[in-house]
Amino acid sequence: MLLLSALLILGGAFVLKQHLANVPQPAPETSTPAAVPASNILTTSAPPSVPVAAAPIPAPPVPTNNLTPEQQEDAIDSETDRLQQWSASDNPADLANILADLNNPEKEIREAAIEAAKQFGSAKAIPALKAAANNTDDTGEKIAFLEAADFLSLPGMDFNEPAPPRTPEQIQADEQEQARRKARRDAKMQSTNPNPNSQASPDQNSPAGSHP
Amino acid sequence: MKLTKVLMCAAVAGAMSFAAGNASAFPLKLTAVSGTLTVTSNYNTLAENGAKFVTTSFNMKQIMTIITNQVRLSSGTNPPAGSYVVYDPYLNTTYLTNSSGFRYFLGGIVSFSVSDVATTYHGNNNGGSENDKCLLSLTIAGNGPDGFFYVAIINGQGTINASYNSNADKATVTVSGNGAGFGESKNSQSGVAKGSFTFKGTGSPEWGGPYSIYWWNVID
Repeated sequence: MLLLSALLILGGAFVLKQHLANVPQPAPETSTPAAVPASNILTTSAPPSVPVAAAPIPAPPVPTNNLTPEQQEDAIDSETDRLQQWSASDNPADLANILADLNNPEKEIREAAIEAAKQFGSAKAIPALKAAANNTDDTGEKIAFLEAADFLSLPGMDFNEPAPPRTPEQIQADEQEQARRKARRDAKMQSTNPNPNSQASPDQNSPAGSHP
Repeated sequence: MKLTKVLMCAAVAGAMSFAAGNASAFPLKLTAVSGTLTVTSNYNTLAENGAKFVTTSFNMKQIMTIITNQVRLSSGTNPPAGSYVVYDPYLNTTYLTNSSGFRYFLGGIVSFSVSDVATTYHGNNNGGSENDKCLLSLTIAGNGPDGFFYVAIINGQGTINASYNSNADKATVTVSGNGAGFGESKNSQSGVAKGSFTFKGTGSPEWGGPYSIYWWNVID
């Protein structure tokens, strides 16, 4: 009886060991941080737990090594064309696409993305540009990222700023000043542009007269 | 001046007389421009009040706003939405145009020139590729919708990168540059513009071989 009990215990232990050996083990943790969607960078209001500069931005699909050089060049051209289209819009989704390309493996696309960010003209791109600058060891590219960030931090041309009201004396003085300024401007344009087809600058309009 | 230059200048002048009717098969589209205008608004009050220059940035959207507004003022009609600026290397001039055939000569509003090209060209049986250094000048001037006048002149060094496929009779040319020049913002009295720009074009060019040779023989 004692011998039978011992055999049962040993058999149970063997079965249990086999079962544990077949249970899937959890995957080991990797050092790669979780990817942050590009759109989070634009919309997040609370600071993330890690610095924005360290947050990786997922790169979009890129030409693979399986492509011929011509196909790869076509793929790059297509993406730079898309960047140009996105840069002309005011859609936040297009800005997210532009910012994603700041981390594209292709340098040509990254350069086009920097230009597109400048053309889009939103200060919301500044954190992503600074993050991209921190993620590269290429000095020239780092400078380009930071220069674009500085550019976007400047106030842009504002055509909605109303012209101040003027007295009749001020209007007359301004007209004389405009004539003097136009002569000076035309001299500058002629001296700096040797193009024989260039012409004098357009007439300057009074602020009130040129409103649509 | 070489005979070829004389003949081509005559051809260009003749072509110009057709106004915008006969454009190049190879227009270079202005795809990007950006920069800053740093200006002094009024020198007359400096002695009493002191001064601080003002810097504003501009990009393609703002420049196109000025250009289309100036075209509206000059022509009396609104340019179609989606219009863009091209430099025509065949006519050596600039237009506002679109894909539906609209074309407006931008003399005095946008001018562009290439001068002094140092070229590197590698040709083969199927075409070739070209990488040049050159001097470029881009001038943009006009009234904004706010009624104020704006000028950005960008003079500087640039590059011309081109590839030519003779089998397909197709060339791709990119001209880009950066630099500085006179700047004016909101009727300012004096100022400095700094910026960069890019023109791009793809198509069947009027010339064979490198663009730099065409420029040397025809435009220079």
